[in-house]
Amino acid sequence: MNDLESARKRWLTDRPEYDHFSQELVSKLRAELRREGIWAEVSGRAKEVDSIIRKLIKKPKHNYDSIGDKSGVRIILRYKDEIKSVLELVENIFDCGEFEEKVDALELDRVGYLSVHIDVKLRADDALAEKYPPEKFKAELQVRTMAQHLWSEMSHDAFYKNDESLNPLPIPVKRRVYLLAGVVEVADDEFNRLNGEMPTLPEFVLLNALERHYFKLTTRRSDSELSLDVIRLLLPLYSEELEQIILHLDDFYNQHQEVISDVYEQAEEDPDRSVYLYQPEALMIYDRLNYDSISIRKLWNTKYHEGELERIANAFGISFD
Amino acid sequence: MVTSDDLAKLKIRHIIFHDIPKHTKGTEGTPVLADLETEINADRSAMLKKRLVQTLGSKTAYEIEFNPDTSSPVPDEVKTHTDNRHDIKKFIKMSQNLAKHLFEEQNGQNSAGLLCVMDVVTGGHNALAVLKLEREQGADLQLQNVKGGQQFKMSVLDNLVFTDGTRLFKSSLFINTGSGEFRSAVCDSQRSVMASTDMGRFWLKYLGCRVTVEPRIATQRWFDTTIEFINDHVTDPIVKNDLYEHLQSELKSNKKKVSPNKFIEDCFPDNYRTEYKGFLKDKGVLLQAFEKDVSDITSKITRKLLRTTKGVTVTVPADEDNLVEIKSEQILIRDPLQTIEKR
Repeated sequence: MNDLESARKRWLTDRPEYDHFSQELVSKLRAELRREGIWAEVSGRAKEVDSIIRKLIKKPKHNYDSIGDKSGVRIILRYKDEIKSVLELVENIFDCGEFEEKVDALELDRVGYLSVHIDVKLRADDALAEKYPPEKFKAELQVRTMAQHLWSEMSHDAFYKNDESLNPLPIPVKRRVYLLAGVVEVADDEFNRLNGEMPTLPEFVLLNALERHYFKLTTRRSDSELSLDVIRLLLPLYSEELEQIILHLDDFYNQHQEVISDVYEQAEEDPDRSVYLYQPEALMIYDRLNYDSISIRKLWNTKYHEGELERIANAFGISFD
Repeated sequence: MVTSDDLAKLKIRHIIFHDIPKHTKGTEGTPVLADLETEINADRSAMLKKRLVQTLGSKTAYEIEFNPDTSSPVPDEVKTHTDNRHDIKKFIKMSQNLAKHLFEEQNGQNSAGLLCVMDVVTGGHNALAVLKLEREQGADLQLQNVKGGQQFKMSVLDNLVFTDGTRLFKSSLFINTGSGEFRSAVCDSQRSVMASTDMGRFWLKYLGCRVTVEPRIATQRWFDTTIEFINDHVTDPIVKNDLYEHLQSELKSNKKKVSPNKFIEDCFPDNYRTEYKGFLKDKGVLLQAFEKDVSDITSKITRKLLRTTKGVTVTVPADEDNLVEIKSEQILIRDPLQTIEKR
């Protein structure tokens, strides 16, 4: 009991520091994911005091100092295929423990659709390692897809969280829970497969290519329907084959990366920014404004409002006057 | 030249306004000087930046340089201010000097206006933007007393700065790129900064600057580069001929300036625009407007027209007289046939 009291007091004192540590990890991960052009929701925090105490009650072999995951960081991705790249990225920036792939640990007929968990700490040569010594500051990093997150969140407070809570239930109810877990897993797999299979139409292929650059600039979600519409409109402005267009846009992005990053940084504070800026096809618009502003203006005005195009042009330093 | 990249990356650090009343001959008067910067929120800052992009990136913006013969104090103020990151007091003092000089330079012909000085940064380079916004005579502009001094509040200036009417203003931007080098541009949305009248040249004179490229050189460069493009890159003979004619008529027209951007828009077919624009950029030819001066290419754009009694016409470049020989019953052309087209 005294141990619990002391742990509670120590955690109330230590927690703000661990919370800062979590935020540093979040910033590092966000920056790296951006660099790779992977969209993700990244969040992190130090555990609540209740959570620490609960862990000590449930796992009596632990004491305050032996609890490794006082900080937690979570990465939520859209597609399962992205998990591998993200884990590689995580291994490159942190000292990592063993990957614990929870779904692999499940028997065929067991319930639960969970994520990858890894214990991480800063590398000894990390600039922040002095402030957050790796021997003291560790965090549990969870990497999961949106579907895995859905299951995790929905089951968190429910009786079907794990097999132990499920066992006492009548068989028909258990069966429904297994089916539900299966549906979520199938949905996750299908989203992943569809993402890989869908892009045969030029506008889809181009949107995917543009998103790779877009997510290096922002984590804001865009409107895909609008993206496809704009891409369809602007595609005739290119005379090359699709593959060439993508290469050209990659080149254009690399050449203008500094300006583009600056424009997105400033746009965060501009309430009057164009609605098309936070869309992946903004790169395509900028490309055409740069090379052939007359044609894009002519074409744009057949479908959209010119004021919006001028806003985006002005953001990239281009005048219509 | 100030580029679109410079304008895209531009960030406003400080801004100050001074009121410059009309300076009629024989009257004393003084400019109304603020001694505090005007605080602007992100919204206003973004709008001001947009105004700078619209004017200084426009077809009527010109590349300028400091005129070594000027007596204007503006170049020295700009150099000193942008050489180092300075404190706000020095910025305010410098802006007041610019305002006093503007007031002294103005006469009864110049409208009253607000001088707006902006301390800006772009791509890591210190820069200064100097603008004059016209305002109606008699508009009531009061300095606001705030702690530590007096300033024009943005709320008072909103109508002057952000209404569509105020697209009409004089602007300039000086980017200190290091080692005494500057990229600078000027725009006067009311009149050409290259006009021959004193009024037209007023803004350049006030700034102590001159337009970088001499009009006759800019005109020749553009003409030669365009001819090279038409000769080497345009394959369709009909388009080729049309473009030659457009080029001739552009240079022979009464227009006082040439805008390559406008020329592309009006005369070039869609499929050649991007290539031509890239070609001009590669050759370092301005896309922005420049004053037209054909004195160095007169012989190239003047053509001799020979017309026969039955309606045959032959045009010959004026400086290639030796290509044709006129006999009593015939015209002899000493030049191999390249194309035949039906029109």
